[in-house]
Amino acid sequence: MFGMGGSTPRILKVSGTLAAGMVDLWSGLGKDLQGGDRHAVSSRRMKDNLLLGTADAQDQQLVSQILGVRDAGVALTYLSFSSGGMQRGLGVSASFNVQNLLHAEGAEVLELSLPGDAVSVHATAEGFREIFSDAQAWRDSWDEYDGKLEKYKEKLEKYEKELQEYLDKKDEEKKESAAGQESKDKKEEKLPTRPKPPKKPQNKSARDDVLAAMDGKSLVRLEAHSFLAIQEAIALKKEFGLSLFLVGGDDAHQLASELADAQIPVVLSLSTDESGGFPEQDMLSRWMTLEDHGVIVALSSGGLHKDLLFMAGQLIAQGADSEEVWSALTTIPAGILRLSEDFGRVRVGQSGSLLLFEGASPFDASAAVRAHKPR
Amino acid sequence: MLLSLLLLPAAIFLQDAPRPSPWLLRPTAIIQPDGTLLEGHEVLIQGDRIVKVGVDLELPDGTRIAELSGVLSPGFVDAFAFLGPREDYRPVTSSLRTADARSLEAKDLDEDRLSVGVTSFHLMPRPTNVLSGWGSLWGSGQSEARVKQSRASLSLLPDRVADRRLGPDSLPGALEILQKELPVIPKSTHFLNFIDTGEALQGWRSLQDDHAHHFVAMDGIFDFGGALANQLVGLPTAFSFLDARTAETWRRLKKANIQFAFGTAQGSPLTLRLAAMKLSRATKNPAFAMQSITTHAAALVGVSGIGVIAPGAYADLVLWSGHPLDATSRLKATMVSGMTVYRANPLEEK
Repeated sequence: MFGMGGSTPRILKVSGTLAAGMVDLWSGLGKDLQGGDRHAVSSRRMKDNLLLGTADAQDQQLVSQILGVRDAGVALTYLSFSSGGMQRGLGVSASFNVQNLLHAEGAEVLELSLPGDAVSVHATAEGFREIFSDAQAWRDSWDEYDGKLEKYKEKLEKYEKELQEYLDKKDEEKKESAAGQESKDKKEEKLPTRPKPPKKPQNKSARDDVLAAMDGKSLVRLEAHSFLAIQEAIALKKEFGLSLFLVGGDDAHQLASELADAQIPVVLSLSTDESGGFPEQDMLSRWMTLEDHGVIVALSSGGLHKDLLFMAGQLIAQGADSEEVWSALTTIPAGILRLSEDFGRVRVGQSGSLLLFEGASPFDASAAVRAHKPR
Repeated sequence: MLLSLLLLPAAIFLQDAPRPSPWLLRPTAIIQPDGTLLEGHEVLIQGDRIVKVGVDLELPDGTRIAELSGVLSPGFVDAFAFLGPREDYRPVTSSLRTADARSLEAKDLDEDRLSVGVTSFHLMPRPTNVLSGWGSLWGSGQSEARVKQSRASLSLLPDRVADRRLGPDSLPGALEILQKELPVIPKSTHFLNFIDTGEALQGWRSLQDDHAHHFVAMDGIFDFGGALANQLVGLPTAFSFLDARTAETWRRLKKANIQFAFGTAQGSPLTLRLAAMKLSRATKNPAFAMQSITTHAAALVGVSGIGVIAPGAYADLVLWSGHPLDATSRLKATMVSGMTVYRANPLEEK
C-alpha cells in the first residue's frame, strides 16, 4: 500500500496487480479497556482511545500490530473492545493515512456480546432487552413530558391571563377606594396559583447511542457463536428493529434461513487456531450454507490480520471461488459498515489505500521469482 | 483435477516395500534446489531415491512413466519439533535419546505432517534441561529405517531449565553446569543450542567451547541478530507473526547473510509452510523462503539427501496444484522414500 501526497499528478509505472485494500471487521486490534457489564450501558468509546500518532504512542507492541495490519493489506480495520462485559461500548472503523496514523471512518458501532452457554445466554439477552426497553421507556417518558409541557404552557397562559385580570381588578379597587366609593359588600378576590412545570426525565448520554441503534441510524455489532446465542440475536433484532450484524457465527449455518429472513449479515473468522494456523476444514461448507440461503457473509481475520491473505488463500485451495473470497474481504464488509462509497473497490472517489501484488493473485507469496523453460 | 489424480499409476500408491523398477515422474514443474520453479523437468526415481533430474532423460529399461498435473516440491523438513520424551528434574540428561521414542510413529501425527507436506521432522528433546540429550531425524510415515540420531541439545533458556530443587535457577547457574560438563563431551558432538536472549549468547561465548554449535533463537531474533551474522539459525514458526517489526527484522537478517531454518517447536506442522509464505512476503524472495523449510532446515539437522529434488536424495516429494508458497495451492499427494503415503481427497467438481 502506498500513499501519494501533493496535488500535481505524477505518473508512477508499476508492474503487478492493483487491488483495493481489504476491510477487516474483526481485527482484534483495540485497547484492552476494562469495564462494561450486561446490565449497564457502557459509554466507553473506542474513538476516544484511537492511537493518534504511531510516533508518540507508548505501546510499541500495539504500534507494531497496527503497522502489521497495514502491511497485511488491510485498508479499513474495525477496532473493537477486546475485553469487557457483554455490553462493551462503542467501537469504530479506522483507516490509515500516509503517515500511518489511524483515522476514524463512518459512524460508531454499538458493541454487544452474547455468551455461548445456555444458562447465561438468556440472562444476558434479557439484560439487553432491559437496556433497549429502558431506552424505549425513557423516550416514551420524554414524549409524555412533551405532552405535559404542552398542557403546562396552556395552563401558564391561562394563569398569566388570570393574574392580569386579578391585578387589573386590584387597581380598580384602589382607585375606587381613593375616590371614597368603597363598597360594603366587597368580595375578596383570590390570587391565582401558578401552575407547576412538569418534571424533566433524567438524562444519560449512552442512551442516545442505544436509541440511534434502535432507529437504525447506527449499527450494532453482536458477537455470538452458539446456536442459542444466535437465536437470541435474531430475536433482539426483530424486537427492537436493530441494524445488526453478527460476528463469530460458529453455528450460524444451522440458522441460515432465519438469518436470511432477518437480513442479518454474518462475519466469519478465518482464524480458529491461535498458533496462526489455517481455517478449519468445515469453514468452507459453513460459509457456503449461509450463502446458499442468501445470507450476506464477510470474512475477517478474527484477530490474526497478519495472516489474512494466506488464510483466505487456503480457503480457495479447499475449493472456494477466488472472486467470492475477494468480495468477502473487500466490498461485502465495506457494505456491512455502510462505507461502500469509500472502501472495497478501485474506483473514482474511493480510498487511495491500494494493494500492489506481484503476479496475478494476492494470495500468492511465490510470485516474485519464476523461471520458465518450455518443455 | 480429478483426472490428473487418476492418471497416477495405481502401483505408485502401494504402501509396500519400495519397488526396484524405476519411475519417471513428469510434473508440470518442479521446485529447484534454489527454490525457483522450473517447468518441463522430469524426475526419475528408483527404490527410495531420486536417480536423475532433468529434461529428456535417458531412461533405464522397464521405466514406467507417471504424468503428473501440478508442481512437484521436495518434502518439507521440520528443523526441530519438541514432541519427544522429557525429563524435567535434572539439569543434565545427556543420555536421553529421542530415537527411542517409538510411540511417535502414531499414525494420526504422521498424517498431520504428510497432509501439509512435511516429510521429515527433527525430533528434539524438550529444551527443559541444560543438556537435554539427543535428537533424531524421522521420515514421516516411515519405519525405523529412516530414523537417524542427529544433534545433541543444549539449552540456555533460563525460564525452562531453571529448577530450584536440582537445577540452576539462573543463566549463570546453567553456564556453571556447562563449564563442568562440556569438556568431557566428545569433540565430535554437534549441538543445537537453544537460546532466547543476547545475554545467553554472550554467556555461552564466554565459555569458549569448541564443539560445533548451531543456534536456535527461541524468542525471535531481535536480541541478537547481528551477533549471528553469516550463520544458519533456527527459528520457531510459533513466533513468526508477520508484523511490521518481524518483517523488517527478517529483511535485515537476510541482509546480514543469516540463513533461516524453521522448526515447529511445539506448534502445529502446518505452521511450517505458513512461516515460509510469510518469509517470502517479507523478503520478496521465494527461493530464500523455500530453503528455510527444505535445504537449510536439513543443514540445521546435519543431514543431506532431504529437502531437495536432486540425484541421490530421498524420493520425498509433494505434488501441489500450484507453487507451494501460493496459499491457494492444494496439496494433492505426498511421497516418502518413493512411496505415496498420503493422498488428499479430490476436490468435488463445482
